[in-house]
Amino acid sequence: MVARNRKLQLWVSLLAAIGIASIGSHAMVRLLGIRTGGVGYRLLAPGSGAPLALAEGSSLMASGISWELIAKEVGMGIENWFVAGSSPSEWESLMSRSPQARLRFIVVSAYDLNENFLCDYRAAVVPMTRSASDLRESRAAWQFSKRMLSQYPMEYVRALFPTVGRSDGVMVGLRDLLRRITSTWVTMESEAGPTIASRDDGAGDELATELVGDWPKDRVLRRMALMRAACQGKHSFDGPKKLALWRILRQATQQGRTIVVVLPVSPMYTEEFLTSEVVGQFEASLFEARRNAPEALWLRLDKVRELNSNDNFWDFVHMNVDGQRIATEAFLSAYRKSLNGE
Amino acid sequence: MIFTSFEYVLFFLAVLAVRRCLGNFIVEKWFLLIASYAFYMSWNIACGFLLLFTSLLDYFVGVGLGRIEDQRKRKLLVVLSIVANLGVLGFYKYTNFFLGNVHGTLSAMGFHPSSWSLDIILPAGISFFTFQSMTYTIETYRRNIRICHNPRDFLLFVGFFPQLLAGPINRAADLLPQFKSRVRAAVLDFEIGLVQFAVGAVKKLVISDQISPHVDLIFSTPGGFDGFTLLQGALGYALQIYCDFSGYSDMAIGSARMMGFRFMENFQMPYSSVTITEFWRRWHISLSTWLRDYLYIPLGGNRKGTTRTYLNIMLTMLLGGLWHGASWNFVLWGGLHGIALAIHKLWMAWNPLAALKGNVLFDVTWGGISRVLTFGVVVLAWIFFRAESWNAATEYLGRLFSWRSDGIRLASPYILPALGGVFLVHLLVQKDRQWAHEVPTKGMALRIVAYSGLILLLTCLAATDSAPFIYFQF
Repeated sequence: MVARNRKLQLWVSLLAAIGIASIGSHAMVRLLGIRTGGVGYRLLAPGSGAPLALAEGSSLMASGISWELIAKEVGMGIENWFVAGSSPSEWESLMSRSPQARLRFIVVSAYDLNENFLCDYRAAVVPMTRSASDLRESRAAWQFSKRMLSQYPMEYVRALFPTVGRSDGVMVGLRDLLRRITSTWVTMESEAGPTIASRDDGAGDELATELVGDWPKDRVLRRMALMRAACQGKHSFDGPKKLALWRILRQATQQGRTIVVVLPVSPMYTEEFLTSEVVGQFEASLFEARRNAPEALWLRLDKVRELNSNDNFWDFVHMNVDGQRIATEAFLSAYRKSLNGE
Repeated sequence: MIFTSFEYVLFFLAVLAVRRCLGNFIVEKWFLLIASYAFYMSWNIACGFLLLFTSLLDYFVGVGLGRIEDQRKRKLLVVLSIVANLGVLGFYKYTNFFLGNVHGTLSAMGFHPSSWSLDIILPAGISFFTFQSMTYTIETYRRNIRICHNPRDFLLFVGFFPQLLAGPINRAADLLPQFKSRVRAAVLDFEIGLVQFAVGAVKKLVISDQISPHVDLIFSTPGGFDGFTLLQGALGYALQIYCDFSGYSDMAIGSARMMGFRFMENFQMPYSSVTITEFWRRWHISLSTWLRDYLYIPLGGNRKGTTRTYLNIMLTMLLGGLWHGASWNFVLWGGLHGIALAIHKLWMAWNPLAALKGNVLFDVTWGGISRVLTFGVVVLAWIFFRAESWNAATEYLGRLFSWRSDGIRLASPYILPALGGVFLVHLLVQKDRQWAHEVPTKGMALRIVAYSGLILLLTCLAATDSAPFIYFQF
């Protein structure tokens, strides 16, 4: 009788605790403004009538190119479906939302294509069966497979506790809240990851004039530590993202014109992560993708010498206003040359 | 399969569920043994055979000790067991260290041999299960425990999964009898185990894993940081290693308790210690008591005069340091603790402040000073433990003590709040109490509040990718 009572007490207290913690977790998301995902849509550049061009890329794409100028050049509106921190694996699932697109821009970089950066919303966008088959096909290591596949059960846990796996967001939110409350904590600054969520919303350019080269050294080190932790200090380009990129390219080139843009990352990022071996792997991966879709037009903005300066980036991977201007000019110049058959 | 992984949770739930369904005690023990070996072999299949070999060796030595009455033959058998165990441990753990040192010495003497090293995989938990297995043969030799005649029970004693990878190093006298009769966790036991497991997960995932990237950063290039940052790094590492290892121990003890088994406690708020001697009674208790019972006391302990006592302390701590890993840094760390223990012993013998004891003001002030001093010595020694090399450690200390201002100042948004939080806990919680054991005995309201807090901490602040436990490398 006593044991049964004790068991009942344990169940009640555990269920009540889970309920209270779940309410707390949801409240935390609301209070701190933590993004919990969802596919977003934005019109990068309006055109006459329905947009006929689709741009696929992460937040680097939005900050790296002035899409309005590109839209004028190609003579059609450009739209984009997005999730924060996305990569070819997520773009592949999103591209079916724009079946009418006649022109597709696929914007990649050494950062986006690094297999070790996993999109936090992958499980919500990419079917588990596809992830599993890509992992099998690319002969991914067990540790990596586990890391990726564990995102799927976590998706269910997140229904109850939306803050699970988002401790960086919670910490940043708490510090911002504290800063707002005290409003004197001027030395603190956001520790958000390099892919700033607000950029994915296309919100404001208030940070776009910042230069990563002007950052205090401690900020550089903290951000670099976060980034290293996010990718576990590893860069590789031979996995599910590569396979997804191949499929996107095949499908896109079958449906219409395809332009692949390779964006640069900042010299700081290159110095920290892109060893000659990593660069070799990246180039090999691009070479294979190119061979897979020879009809696509490839614009290598990462080879534009003027962009190779920290003054063109507002963080390690996102270009600022100056970088965007140079990149857009280089884009248009290369595009026009291709039209002229040069 | 580490305790903080999703697979371990699934594995553990499956073990609990299957064990509950098994009606036969013998079948249950076989099941636990198979599950334990599956758990261990998920790291490396070949290492499972090594575990089996060393366990069987000690089992047969035990059987032999039970049959033989001749003291000389008994001694020979136990020496065989010790040599074999330490030989295996030495081969896997110290061969490359030894070869490296010989190579270095020859190079320094003007010879230039080509580099020597063997491609040896260090079996996970070898230092722990070797020491645990040795407790059995030594105690059997001393006739302190009964011979285990059942190989299955003995294999389970050495290989039982919650303690296999990083302890606690359980004594044969404590754990073996628990496999003699069927144990089932009472509801209270289950609840205590669950809470202890959750507390361990909070220590590991919310504190240790969150601060480790910044601690690693500071220790990787100490020459680039100012004094404040280096102090933060040293304090951060003290916190990281404590939360990492005591978190692991809590999860191991909690897992066992949920199944009805009792393991010895491994940590008891060591940073609250007033003396370095007390620190070693509270830090890695299962190792420190092992070293005391099987090294320090057999060496003579404090029974063979003053000089020999200090020599024994130093030798025990130096070997204790070496047990942690094949590096001179660990030996030095052990040596520093040995010196600190010796100084404390000298101080206690001298006892110049004895007359002041009993005065409340003196007791409070001296208690505070002693605590800070003890913690300071421990943190200082951690720098040698963590630094990449001797040169890195001396550079770290040089810059820290000269309070250099020419480096980068990094105010870690993770380390500083964690230090504040843990400091507060040490201020508020009495050092001899076991929070995880007490809360489940309290009323419902308090339990609900405490459990909600634990779950909220884990779901909001746990690191996304958990790093392997630091002590797995030992």
